Amino acid sequence: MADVTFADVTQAPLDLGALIARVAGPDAGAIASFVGTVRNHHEGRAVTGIDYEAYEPMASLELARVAHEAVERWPSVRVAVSHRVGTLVVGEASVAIAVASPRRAPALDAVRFVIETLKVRVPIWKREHYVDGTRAWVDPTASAPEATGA
Amino acid sequence: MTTAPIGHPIGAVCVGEGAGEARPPVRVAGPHVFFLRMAHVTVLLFASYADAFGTRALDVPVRAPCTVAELVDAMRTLPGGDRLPSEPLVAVNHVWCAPDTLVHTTDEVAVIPPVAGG
Repeated sequence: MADVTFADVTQAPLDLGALIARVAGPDAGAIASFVGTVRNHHEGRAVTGIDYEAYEPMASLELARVAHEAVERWPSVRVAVSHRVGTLVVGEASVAIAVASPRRAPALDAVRFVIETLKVRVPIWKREHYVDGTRAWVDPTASAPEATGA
Repeated sequence: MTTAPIGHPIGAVCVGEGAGEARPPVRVAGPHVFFLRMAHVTVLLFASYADAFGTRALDVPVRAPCTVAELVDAMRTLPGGDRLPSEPLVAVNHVWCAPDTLVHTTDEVAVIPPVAGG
């Protein structure tokens, strides 16, 4: 499949349909997707929103490197991924990924690879807003893996 | 009356430098002396590290070029430096780098808090 790898970091609301359109094609037998959304709680605290901050241009570059690595691992896939920055409220999408492939297995595997890898590689941070008005930067290295992020 | 020695070789007189003492020779030229001068490396900071140091662009006095590890050690002596972990993430020119990577004053250096995208 042609390399149409797409990656960006944006302040605009994410559009999974637009990402799917980027990877779709007559040779695709599967399109797998993932959307990470802002959750209303974290480690027992009620969360009202999250500020996402990115180190640009490195964040976009690293996101593109992750997407290209997915294509290297699963040469049959096409990958499109967007990560949002700015202040998001509960329920809004912070990251969206679409992967197309002739068969489902590489598409599903590549989606998982992209989300798991971007979470440890792309320089983006989140500061949670709590109901009591306080805010705190999330440090995934300081809490249990299942308690972190999308 | 003193007479200046005409034609005296320039640089042959080192007044007060090691006269009668067993000192190692002072290197006055060469790439090491030229490059290992005190300089500042500007380090970009984000999120919790920007809060810790109170700035998003920190001038760190170091001998440059230096290693990433030496740069981080220099940051530890500055206000807020106690908030850095033992081996923070560092990117040089938008690429993740190991502690022994050389940093030059013209590089874009970022010392990066634990990432939390997704």
